[in-house]
Amino acid sequence: MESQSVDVTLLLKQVADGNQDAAAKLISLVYEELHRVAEHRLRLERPDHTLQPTALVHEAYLKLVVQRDANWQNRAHFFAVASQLMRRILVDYARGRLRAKRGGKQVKLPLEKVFVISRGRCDELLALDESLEKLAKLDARQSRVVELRFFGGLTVEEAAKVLGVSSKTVKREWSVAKAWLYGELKERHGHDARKLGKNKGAV
Amino acid sequence: MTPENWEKIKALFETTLQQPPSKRASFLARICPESDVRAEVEKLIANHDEAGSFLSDPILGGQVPKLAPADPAAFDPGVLVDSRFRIVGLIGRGGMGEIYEAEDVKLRRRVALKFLPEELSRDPQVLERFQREARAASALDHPNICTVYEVGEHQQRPFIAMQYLEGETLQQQIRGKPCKPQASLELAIQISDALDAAHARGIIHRDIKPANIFVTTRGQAKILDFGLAKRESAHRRVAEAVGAWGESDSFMSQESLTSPGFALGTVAYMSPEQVRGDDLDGRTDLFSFGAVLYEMATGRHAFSGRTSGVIFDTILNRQPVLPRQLCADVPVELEQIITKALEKDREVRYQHAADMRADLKRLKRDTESGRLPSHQTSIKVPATRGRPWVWKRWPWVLSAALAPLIVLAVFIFGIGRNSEPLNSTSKASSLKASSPASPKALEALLEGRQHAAEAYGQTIIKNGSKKKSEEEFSKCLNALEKAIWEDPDYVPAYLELAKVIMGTEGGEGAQPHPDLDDKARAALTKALALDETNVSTHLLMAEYIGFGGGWDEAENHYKRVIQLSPDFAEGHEAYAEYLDDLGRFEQGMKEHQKAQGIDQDKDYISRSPLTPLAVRIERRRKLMRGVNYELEQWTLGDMEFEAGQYAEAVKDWGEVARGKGWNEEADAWERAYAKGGGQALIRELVRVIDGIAREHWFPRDMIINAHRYAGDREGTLMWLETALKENDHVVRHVKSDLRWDPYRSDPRFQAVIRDVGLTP
Repeated sequence: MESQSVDVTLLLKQVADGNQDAAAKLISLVYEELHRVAEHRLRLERPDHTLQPTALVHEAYLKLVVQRDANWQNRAHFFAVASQLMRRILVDYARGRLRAKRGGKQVKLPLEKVFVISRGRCDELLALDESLEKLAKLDARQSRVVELRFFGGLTVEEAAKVLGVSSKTVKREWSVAKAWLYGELKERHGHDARKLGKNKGAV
Repeated sequence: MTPENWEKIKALFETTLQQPPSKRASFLARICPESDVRAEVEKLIANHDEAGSFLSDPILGGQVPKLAPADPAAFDPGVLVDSRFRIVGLIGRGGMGEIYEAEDVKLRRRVALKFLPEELSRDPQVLERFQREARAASALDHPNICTVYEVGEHQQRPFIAMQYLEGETLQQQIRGKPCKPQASLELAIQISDALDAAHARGIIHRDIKPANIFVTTRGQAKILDFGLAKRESAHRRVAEAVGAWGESDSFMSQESLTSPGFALGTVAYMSPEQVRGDDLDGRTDLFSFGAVLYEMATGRHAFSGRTSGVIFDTILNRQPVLPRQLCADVPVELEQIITKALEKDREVRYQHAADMRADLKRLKRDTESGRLPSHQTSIKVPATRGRPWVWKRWPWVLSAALAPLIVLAVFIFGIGRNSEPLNSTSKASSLKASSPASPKALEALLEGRQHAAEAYGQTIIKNGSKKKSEEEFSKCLNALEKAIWEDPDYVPAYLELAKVIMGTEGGEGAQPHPDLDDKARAALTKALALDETNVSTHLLMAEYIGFGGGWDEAENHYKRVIQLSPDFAEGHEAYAEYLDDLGRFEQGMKEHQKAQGIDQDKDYISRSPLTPLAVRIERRRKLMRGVNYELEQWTLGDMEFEAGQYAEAVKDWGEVARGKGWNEEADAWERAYAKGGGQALIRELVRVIDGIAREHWFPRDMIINAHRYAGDREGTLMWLETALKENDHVVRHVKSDLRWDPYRSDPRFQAVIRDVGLTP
């Protein structure tokens, strides 16, 4: 694990520099960790229970990337990458799952053993992801704010540090972005968008 | 929509939003003539109003950074390690592995479990050496060495079970400031004494540094990690320093690469012979101790530098700045001691820890007697023996050398009643209910526990601030309610809430809050609805109902506990006590025996009123052998007194008192006993306890016992009635405690019995 964590730190830096290969490697590492965590849990607990996805992803995520990075020099930078990563992992999962459900080519879902995301939730997640892409074209910073806040779990203050702007700016951007995304989801996907991001997480 | 348009829309959206809702439309029409832009803004505002909690919780439900220390534990609470230690929680982690708080279920004491990192556990040689050395260290029995109880292995990971202490490391205490001279001297004497004892047995520490010296809340020094320092680490660290990165596939090197601070913290206290990689003897510890003393006296490192290489150069070749040049307060004698310890040539250094101790002691004596003109005599020694009459049931807790510690002061009061069947619970109950859906819920739960500990733990009692304690209690309630709000299905949060209200958790002085009874009941009812298979819930519910007079209903819950977890000794024991409380002694005895059959290492039989006093004393003494539970020992004293074994009683009470630094009181008891026998002894005991109880919370059963043994009928009944008002558990046992026999016809006593819901 220790040697792995060094890799993770390195990979994170590469991802930050825009290295897509590194991102893929990092994601597969997170998957492996998820497996390990899930199997560990399944060994310990009653197997007939659905595992809490949020708790699991969270745990795996922490194990991999936060473990010994308490004195990581550039926390802001780290979380900027980490939130991107979480977004990709979850969206990839949702995509794969929907594909499998819709009778497409059977894809191996690394996360399937770990947790079950309902189909509706997968839809929502993908819709959000698409809308975020669209928002990024309109206003890149707003899209980043959402990524950091929603996928990375950062506070307003932390997001402000990451983006190098004031908290006030983040608050403003967040408020507009939420309103815009909400309208977008409602219009394009016909969801009750309010469900997304309510207590207990979106997954 | 173009990005240019978007900027405009954003600005209009923000300004319009600041207007009261009724005026927004007209405001917008006034400032924005372009109808297409206006339509966009209006849509955005409508969506904003409609969105509600959309995206308001992060997908992972929490602020990731803050949870780092609590979450990624390799072992979850409740896991039974080596069929003996039940994990309570992770308290720290670092390069040397993870440390958990755990309960030794055999000896019923709290321990700290330290797991070696996985990398090291895979190397059979490292493993073998680790175990050998830890065993050697476990042979060290010294008040200033953190005791190693046991070495074991769990899931291929070796661990050490050690004493659980509370306080902070010297490193945390120094933080760049010189320590108070008198307190430093006292600590230094203790450390030198510990080193002397270890060296006498041929055990060298090899890694003496402030982070490895713990100072308990009572001001006692405890050296950590004796015998655990890796023999080869010195070579490796040297290799790093001189740039021999060829070894960089090793764990240590990689860690140093990524976090130089780690390596620097480790090398700054090395002796020259250690740097050179020579064979080591006890004198290496004396050099390192010298460096520690230097830092205590001046607040500065004796040897420092930006890289290990520079540090090594200073250790090998340079004299540190004399302490008195940095800090004029340092007595010249102390400077001499430090200089002699820091001699680079070990042949001219202190040769034995005992010599160093002698010099330190002389300095202390001279300072105290005023023979040394020094300002530090005016500095008060921190009160290591104020009035902290606080009780520890389990040897107090240390969360060893690893940096960010969350010490959850979770106390267990009352034998057996509150021990949590964590393992049985997690097996039987649903994961859904016992793990939080949102990390925020866990965070809030931990925060609640911390406040509970602060409300009733050692620190507050020491300060004696009732107001502070109430504040902390209300913060605790808030935090627990927040946990429930974050995750309304989170059973542990409900249980915690019930426990703090019922006073079964939160600290040594935890008291019930009868005024909040409804809340406790609601919490337990909800917890039961969420997971009917949780053993802890049933136990708490039974106790709760029992207090409310619902004895019959309580029985169902005890039976359910046994049904859910037939091999859970504490379940049988709780039921046994319940039966005893109702006066059903024979049935109770059967359950005591079942509990005893499951777990031979605890003493359940003695808790039955049917067990003769002599047998109880004998069993208790056996249980006490080699361990140190203040409460158990005090109660043993009670039993001995009851049996007329006054000499033993005065010895046991005295030992507990002295353990707290209460030498004068212990002396007084001994004198009273020598002069006037048992009666004089008990009168003196009552006098002291009453004095303490006026200012501090003191366990009710002990006060009552003392008054009862002294034949003080009025005082006994008065305290019993107080305990009744406070919902103290002692009143539950009015029927099963046969010492009440002489009181049974007393109307006041009968009133209490009826109030508890029993028949006289």
